[in-house]
Amino acid sequence: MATADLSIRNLRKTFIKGKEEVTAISNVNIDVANGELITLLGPSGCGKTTILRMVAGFETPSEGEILVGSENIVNQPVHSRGMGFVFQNYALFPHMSIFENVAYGLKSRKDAGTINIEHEVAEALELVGLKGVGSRFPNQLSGGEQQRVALARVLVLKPKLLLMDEPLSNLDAKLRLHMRTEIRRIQQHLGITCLYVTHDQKEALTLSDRVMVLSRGKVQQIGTPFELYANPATTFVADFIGQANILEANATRIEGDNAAIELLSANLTLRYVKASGTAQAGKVSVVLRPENIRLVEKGQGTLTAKVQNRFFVGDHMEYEITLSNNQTIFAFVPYNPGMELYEVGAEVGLAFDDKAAVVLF
Amino acid sequence: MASASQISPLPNTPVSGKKHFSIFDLGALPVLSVIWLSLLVFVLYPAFKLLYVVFVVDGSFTLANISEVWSSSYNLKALWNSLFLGATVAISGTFLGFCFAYFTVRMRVPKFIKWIVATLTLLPLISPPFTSSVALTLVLGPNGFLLEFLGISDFKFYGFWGTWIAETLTYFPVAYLALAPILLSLDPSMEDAALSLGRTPWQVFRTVTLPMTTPGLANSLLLLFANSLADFATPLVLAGTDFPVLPTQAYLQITGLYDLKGGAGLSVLLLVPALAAYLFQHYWVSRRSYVTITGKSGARSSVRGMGMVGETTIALICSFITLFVLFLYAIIFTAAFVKIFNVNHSFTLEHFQYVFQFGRKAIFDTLIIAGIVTPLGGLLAVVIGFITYRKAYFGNRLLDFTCMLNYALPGTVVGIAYVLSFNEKPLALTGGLTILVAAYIYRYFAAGIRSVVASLHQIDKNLEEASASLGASGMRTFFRITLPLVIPAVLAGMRYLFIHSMTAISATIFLVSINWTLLTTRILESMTGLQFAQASAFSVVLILIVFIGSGLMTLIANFYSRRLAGADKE
Repeated sequence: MATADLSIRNLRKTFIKGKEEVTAISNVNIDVANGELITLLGPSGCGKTTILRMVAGFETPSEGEILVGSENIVNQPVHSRGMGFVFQNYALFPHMSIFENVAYGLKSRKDAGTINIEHEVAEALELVGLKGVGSRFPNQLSGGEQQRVALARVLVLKPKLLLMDEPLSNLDAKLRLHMRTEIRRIQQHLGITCLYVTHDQKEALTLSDRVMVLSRGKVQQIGTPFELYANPATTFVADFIGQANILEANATRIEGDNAAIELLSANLTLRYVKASGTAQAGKVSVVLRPENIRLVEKGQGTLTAKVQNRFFVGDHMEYEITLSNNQTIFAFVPYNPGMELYEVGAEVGLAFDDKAAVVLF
Repeated sequence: MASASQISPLPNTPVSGKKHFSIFDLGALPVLSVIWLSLLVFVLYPAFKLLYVVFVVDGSFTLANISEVWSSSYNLKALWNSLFLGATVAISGTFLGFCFAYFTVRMRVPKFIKWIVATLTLLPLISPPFTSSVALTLVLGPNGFLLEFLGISDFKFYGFWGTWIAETLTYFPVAYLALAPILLSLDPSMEDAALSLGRTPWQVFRTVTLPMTTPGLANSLLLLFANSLADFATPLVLAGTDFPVLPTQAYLQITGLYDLKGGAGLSVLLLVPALAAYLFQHYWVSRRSYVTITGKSGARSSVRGMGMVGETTIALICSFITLFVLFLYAIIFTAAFVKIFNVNHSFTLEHFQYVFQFGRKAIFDTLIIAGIVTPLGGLLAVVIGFITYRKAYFGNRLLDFTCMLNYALPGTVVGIAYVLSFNEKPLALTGGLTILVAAYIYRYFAAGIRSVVASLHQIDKNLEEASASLGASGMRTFFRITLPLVIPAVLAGMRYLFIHSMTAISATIFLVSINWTLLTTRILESMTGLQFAQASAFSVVLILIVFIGSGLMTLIANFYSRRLAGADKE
C-alpha cells in the first residue's frame, strides 16, 4: 500500500444529543498532497478529532466525501481502509507482547502467509528507535516507548495515511519536544501523508507543512505556519496562534493591498489580510502582536497609553497597558541589559512598525 | 438461592500515617472489644466447634470421622456431583451473564429495552429461593406444562438437569453484575485500534475484547462455582436421591438420620472446596484486571459490536432467557391464583386464604426477624466500617477476614456449626430468636461493612478538615459531615441484609423451631408435600414483601444520594 493524497469535500457531522441535533463540524474542505503533514488545530470541542475519526472510519459523516486517491471511502468499513491511527492513549493491547502488538495488523492481512512477519516487525521497531523490546509487555515500557510502539504498530502496515490523535499529550514536556522531532523525522523519511490533531499551537507550528485551524466545528483558516502567524484570517486565528492584541478601528479607504485606517487618534495605512473578507470601508479589527510593540517616551510613537501593570518573565518584560479608549493590551519588550523600564502608572507612547499591524475585515 | 450478589474486596486502606481526630478514637477500644467478643461467639467459636467435633475424639486428634465420610461411596458421589454441578453452572451462568452484559453494554438497542432486560436480570437475585424451582417444576417437571406442550415425555427433570437449569437461571445475574462493569470500562480505543489495523469486528471481538475480559470471566466462573457449591435450596427440591450433593446430604444426615457427626464430616468436605474457591476469587482473581483508568482516553465513540452473526445470536439468547424468566414468574402467579395449575384454571383465592390461615405465624416471624436484623446489622456495619477505616488497629485484617468468614462458608456449614455450638449449655440458644438473628447478621453484614468502607474512601478528607478548621468539634463534624455522606452506603448494606434475612434458608433451616419459623421453610414444606399451589402463593407473598421492602429502601437511598449530588452543585 502506498501513501496517498487525501481530499475532504463538504464534510459535515451532526449528533443527536437528547432531542436536539447538534452540529459537530460543517463545511470542511481540504486537499492534502501526497507526503504532506497537515495539523488540525483548535481548542477542545472544536471538532478536530471528529474529522480525524471520520477519516479513520470510526465515525460516519452525515454529509460529504472523503477521497483517498480518487476513491470515496465514506462507506468503507474501518478494517479495510488501510489507515494508520495513533491514539492519544496509545491503545496498546495489554494482553499482548510488543511483538504481538506490532504483528497484529500484519497477521490480519490476507497475504499474511507470504510476509516475513519477524523481519517486518523488527524493521518497524528499529525505525522508531526501539530494539529488543519485542518480548516485553506494554505496561513494562515507559510512556515514550509505548508511544513509539503505537507508531511502529501502524507504520509496519505501510498505511495510505497516518492519522495521529494528540499523540504527545500524555508525555511530559521534555519528552514531548523530543518525540515531536522524532515524528517529523519519521514522517519525512517515509514521505507519508499525515493528519495530525493537536490543541497545542507550538506543536502545530513546528511540525506541520500546513495547519487547519478550527473553532466550533468550522474551519477558520488553512495555511502554512508562517502564513497563519503573519496573515491570520480571523481574530480567532490571530489570538489562538501566538498572542494578539485586537484593536477596533475604522477603515476609510482601500488602496491596493493597503487600507487607510483610523485607529484612536492615529491615521495609518496598513496592510490587510485578503482572506479575512471583502475589503470595504467601515469597522475593522487591527491585529497587533505584543512583541511588535515598543514602549517609548510620552508624546512619541503612534499611540498614547498608561502602564497598568508589568511582569518580568525573564526573556522579556510583559507590560499590561491601557489605551485612551480604556482597552487593555499587552506589549512584550525583549530583555537586554540596561533596557529602559517604565513604572506602573507611567504615561507612555506606543511605537510599532506599520508593517507589523494587519487589518481584518 | 438468593445469597448471591458479590461482595467486592476491601480497597487498600491507607493505614500508615496519622489520621486526624474522630469521636471513634475515644470510644473505639471498648466498642472494639464488644465486637470481637460477639465475633468470637458467633463466628469463630462455631467454626472451631465444627472442626473440633470432626477432628477430635476423646481429647485427641483423629481422622477417623473424615475417613468414615470418605469411605462412603454415596458421599463421594455427592462430592463429585457438587463439584460437577458447580463447574457446569459456572460455565453456563458465566456464558449467559456475558451475553446479557454484552447486550446491555455494547449493543445498539433502544435504551428502554436494555433497561427492561437489566431489571429482569436482577429479579432472580432478590427473589426467594425455590422461586425458579417451583416454576420450573410446574413447567418442566413430571407432567410439566411445557413438556406436554412440546410433546416430550421422557425428560429426566429431577436430578442433574433440573438442578442445573434452576441454578443457572438463579446465578447468571451474578455473572452479569460482575461482567457488565468490566465491559463498560474497557477502553474503546483498543477495539478501534484493532479494527483500524485491519481486523473484522468478529476478529476484534475474539482477539481483543474477549481476551481483555478474561480476568473478569475467571472471577465470574469462581463466584458461580462457589455459589452453586453452597446452594442448598435448589438441590433440596430438585436433585432427588439419584443426584445427591453435599449440602443436602449433610442436611439429610442431620435431620433425617440424627447423625450430627456425619453431617459435620460432610460439611467439612464441602467447606474445603468452597473456602478454596472463595479465597482464590476474593484475594487473587478479583484483583487482576486489564481495566486501567489512565485518566485520558480516546473519544468515547459509538460502541462497536462483534459483527452481525454474533450480535444476532446474543440478542436471540437474551430475548429467550428474558422471556423465559418472565414466563416462570407468570407461572408462579398463575399457579397461586388458579385452582390446580394445568388442570383447573378457574380463579381462586383459596391458596392465599391457606397462606394467611396457616402461614401467618411464618410471615410475622420472618418480618420480625428481618425487622431486627436489618437495623442491627446496619448499625454494626457502620461501627465496624468506621473503626477499621479510621484507625490502624492491630488485627484489622483479621477483623476483616472474620467478618467475611460466615459469608464465605456455605450456609449449610454455618448452620451445622451453629447447631453443634448452640444446642447445649452454656450457649443453648437453638429454638430461639437470638440464634436466627445472629445467623443472618453475621452471615450477611459484611456487605454493609464493605460499602461503608468504600464510601468512606470516597469522602474527601478535606471536607472533614474544612469542618474542623471552621470550628466544628469532632462530634459535630462526625454527625453533620461524615455520617450524612455514608448514609446511602449504609442503606445499601441494610437492603442486602433485609433481602437475605427474608429469603435465605441454607443456614437457618437448622435453627428454626416451633417457636420461630420462616416463610422460606414453609415454602419448602409445601414443595416437599407437593402442594405446588400453596408453595406458589407463599412465594408470591414473599416476593411482594421483598420487592416492596427493598424498593422502599432503594427509594430512600436514591433520595439521599440525589440530595447529596444536588448539594454538590450548589
